[in-house]
Amino acid sequence: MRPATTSDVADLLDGIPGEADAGAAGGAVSLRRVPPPRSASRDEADLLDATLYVAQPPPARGWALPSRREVALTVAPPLAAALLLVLVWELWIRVREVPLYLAPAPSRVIETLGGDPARFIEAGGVSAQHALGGLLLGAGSAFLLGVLMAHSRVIERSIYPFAILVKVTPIVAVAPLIVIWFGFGVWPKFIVAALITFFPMLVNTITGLRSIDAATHDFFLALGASRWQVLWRLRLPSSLPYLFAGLRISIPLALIGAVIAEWIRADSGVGQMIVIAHGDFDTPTLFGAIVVLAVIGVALTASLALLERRFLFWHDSSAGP
Amino acid sequence: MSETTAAVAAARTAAPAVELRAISHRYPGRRGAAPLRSLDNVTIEAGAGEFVSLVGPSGCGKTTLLRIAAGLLTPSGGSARVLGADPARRRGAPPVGLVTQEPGLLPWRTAAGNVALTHELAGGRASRADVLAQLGRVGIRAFADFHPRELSGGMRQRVALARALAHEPRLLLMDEPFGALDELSREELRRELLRIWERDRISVLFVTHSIREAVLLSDRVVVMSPGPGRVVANLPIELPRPRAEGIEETPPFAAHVARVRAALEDAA
Repeated sequence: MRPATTSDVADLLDGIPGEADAGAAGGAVSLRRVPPPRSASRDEADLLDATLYVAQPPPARGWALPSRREVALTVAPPLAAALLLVLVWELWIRVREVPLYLAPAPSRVIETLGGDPARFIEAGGVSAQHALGGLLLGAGSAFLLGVLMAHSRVIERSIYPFAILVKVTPIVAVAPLIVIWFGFGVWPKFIVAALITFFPMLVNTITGLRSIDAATHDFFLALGASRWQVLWRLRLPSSLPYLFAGLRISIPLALIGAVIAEWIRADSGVGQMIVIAHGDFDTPTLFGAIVVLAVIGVALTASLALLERRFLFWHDSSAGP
Repeated sequence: MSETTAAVAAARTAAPAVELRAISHRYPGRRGAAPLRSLDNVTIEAGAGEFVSLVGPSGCGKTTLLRIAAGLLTPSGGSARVLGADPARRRGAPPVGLVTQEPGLLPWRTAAGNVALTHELAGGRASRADVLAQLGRVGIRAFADFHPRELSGGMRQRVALARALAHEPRLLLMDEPFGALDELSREELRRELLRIWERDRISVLFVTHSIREAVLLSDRVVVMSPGPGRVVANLPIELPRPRAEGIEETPPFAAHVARVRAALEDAA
């Protein structure tokens, strides 16, 4: 077993090993001697001509953002629906003269958001950090544990009941304890967010690492591949669709966890903002906080979708919208 | 003609590539049921440079036998030696290539990346030129940068063949490699394999359902019968090499097919 290098990571998904190295060295770098072709004329000529048999070119991939048209087609319909909803809401409040302590008109919410945007941006930033920290902690530890559990049934059997225990315990029941133990700082927020994201990531990691193609696995074993090679070159890439699915579930959960922890005790963040606004019957701020949370959730999910585009181009799920 | 026969004769006197002696295998029965006897006292040998096919109905254990040779299964009884070593206990990458019915390519890698995988697992690194040459050997150099999902079934199987041959193995194990293909692709790939084998002369153990395929490709056809799997006939194919285009239409070919079919029917 040798330690992984960054070029290994690139090789893992990009195919040709050391493509970058070879280019840098100005040509072919080969450690293996491959015998020269014995009948060159036959080898040089391809049996099949790519242009004859394949109608579609290889799909573009990379970090390229989706095209403007694609974005417009994805974003426009929900935006139009939201606009319509806001319009109906505004009319309803004005026509029925709903009191402010019950519900604010959208115009009032926008006014509040625009009146002191720094307050909302700051609270949102703090909550986003809490959520991301918790996601990193929860998803990261779940992933590492998942790798161990996918490799050993004994470890799986000994840990799984506790994972289920964590899952079935309502987070709102545990959160106050964690806040008591860890105080005011960022850690109680990280831990509450981590606990809530742990289980979906664990399950997806284990399922993903085990969902390998049998014929491919046979090929690896027939070539005497080590466990490490099977993990690195087969199990991990095969698990990516599941890991992304786990993250998609975990992102909003992490946000919920962060807000719950802030709610219980905090000096900043959207959770604290909600508690204070609630006490004051300040409904425009309450709705403003909801808008901020929605924006954070959408932004994080969209970033994940972009990562998925880059790394899951080969998977069937990436064919859809 | 004399040159090729001499080469074949010389190859056969060398140590055999595959020696499976008195192999028995049983799969554990489910929930207390009696274990399923899959192979019973099977002995098969493939000389160096020899092309041997295993033919038999479903359930005769030919795939089990191939998996034992590939080191993917340890037999319940008997001794297996592949290229002079116990296939289940060797260390490092053996000079053996495996092609199965499902190509089993890595979907996130291009055709070239899949061929490069063999070099990575065998502990070396290949340049792009090497990989392209290996794809060229099976006639798909132009598809080097295509991902498996962009290729037809026949081309995927060509990639699998290039991948299995990339580290210049001395033995090729093939488990119904063309079984999932349409008739035209199958025909093309048989010809391709024949051409590669007649040039490189590596040992091949080839499992198939098709009698004609076995006769066309092989030096020897081993006929097996099911329940549990046994060898019922061991028939040399005395057709001239290289097997010419249109050989399937000749009377000697038909005679060989008839002999293999008769052996299969006797067993049933």
